Amino acid sequence: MKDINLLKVGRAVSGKEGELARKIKVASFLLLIVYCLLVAGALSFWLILQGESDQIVKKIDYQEQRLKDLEPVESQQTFLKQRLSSLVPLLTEEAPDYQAVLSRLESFASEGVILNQLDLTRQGELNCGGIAANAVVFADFLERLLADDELSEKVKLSSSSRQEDGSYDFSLFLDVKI
Amino acid sequence: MLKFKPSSLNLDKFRPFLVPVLIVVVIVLSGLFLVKPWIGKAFEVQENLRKEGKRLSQLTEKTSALESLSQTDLAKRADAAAKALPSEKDLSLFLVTLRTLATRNNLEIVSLQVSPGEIASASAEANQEALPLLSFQVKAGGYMNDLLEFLDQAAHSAPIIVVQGMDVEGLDLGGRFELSLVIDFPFLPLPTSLGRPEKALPQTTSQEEEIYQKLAQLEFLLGKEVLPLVPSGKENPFAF
Repeated sequence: MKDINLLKVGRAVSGKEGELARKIKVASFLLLIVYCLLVAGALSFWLILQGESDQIVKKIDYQEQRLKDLEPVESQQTFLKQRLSSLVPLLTEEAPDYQAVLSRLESFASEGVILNQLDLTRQGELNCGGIAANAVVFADFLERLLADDELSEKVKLSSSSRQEDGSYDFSLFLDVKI
Repeated sequence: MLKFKPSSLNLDKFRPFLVPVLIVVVIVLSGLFLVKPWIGKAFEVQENLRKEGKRLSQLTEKTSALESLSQTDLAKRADAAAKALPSEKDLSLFLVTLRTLATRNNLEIVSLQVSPGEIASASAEANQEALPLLSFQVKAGGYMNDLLEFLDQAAHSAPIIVVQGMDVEGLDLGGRFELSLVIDFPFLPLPTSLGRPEKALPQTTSQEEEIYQKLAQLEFLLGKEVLPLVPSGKENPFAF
């Protein structure tokens, strides 16, 4: 029967070679420990992230539920915003004040001048035609019109013709400002 | 012939390196096939966490903004806006408004032309640049003072009335005359969706606030409520 000697050292390791082997062994164990620490750190990091993620998901669910409850308010606000923003160009654009223009023209035309045709657009272009009783009244009307910077800076006499009775038919173009 | 001699292969000298080599192999293999994908996932979770955090802050901000709004005030504002700018091409509303305005100011409507086209326009897409309009060509007879009153009231009535132009023939400033008016009624289909939940709540600007102040002063000639905005659970939260 063969004896087994557990204490047997196959080969005696000594000197530089033995020292090197021992250092490598220690280093490898150190490497293993560092590696395990890194893995444990990464695991902790992952677990923390996972925990935070779960919490955020719960908070998001809660906020979404609150938003769902507030949906009528949101729809009203969105609706209001849509309406108001759409009306900004329309209600801030410069358009003639029809009332003011007509009132002003009425005041000019009250003295011997009759305006019998008037075409006013939203762009402020006013074509008007009328009859002046005589040249003096007509000239006075035109002078007053030209002098009125508030109504229009641009007054163009498109046509005028003297009638047999001394009256004047005329048509004017004004670029209305008010 | 080459002969293998086991006795000449001495592996004992490698025995001290066996454990370190095994450790390195285990580290490399587990690092490659276990830890690396796992760390990749952790970074993915971190990235998702960053995105979710951002989303959460947007949701919280929006919820706070919504909760800070006074529902009574908002309902009042939305009602004024709905009266000023109907959501449909409501021909009957526009006709009744015109008739009411004319009657109030003793203007006689001689003729009225309108080409409404497709009436059911609630689903129509709104033009981004300009509001859709329903245009009326109205011939009316009356006196100058009545016309001036009509124009004044039209400027302060809801739904909004846009006088595009007027043409007066046979104008006698002291007497009765006829005039042609081009009158537009703007309308605007309802928004179709609220968008994503995290989308910021649209806030009204100061310019829009000024517009609202104008709308609030308009007189709704028909005197009826037009905005039953209720939670409906429908796809379009504005539909009712």
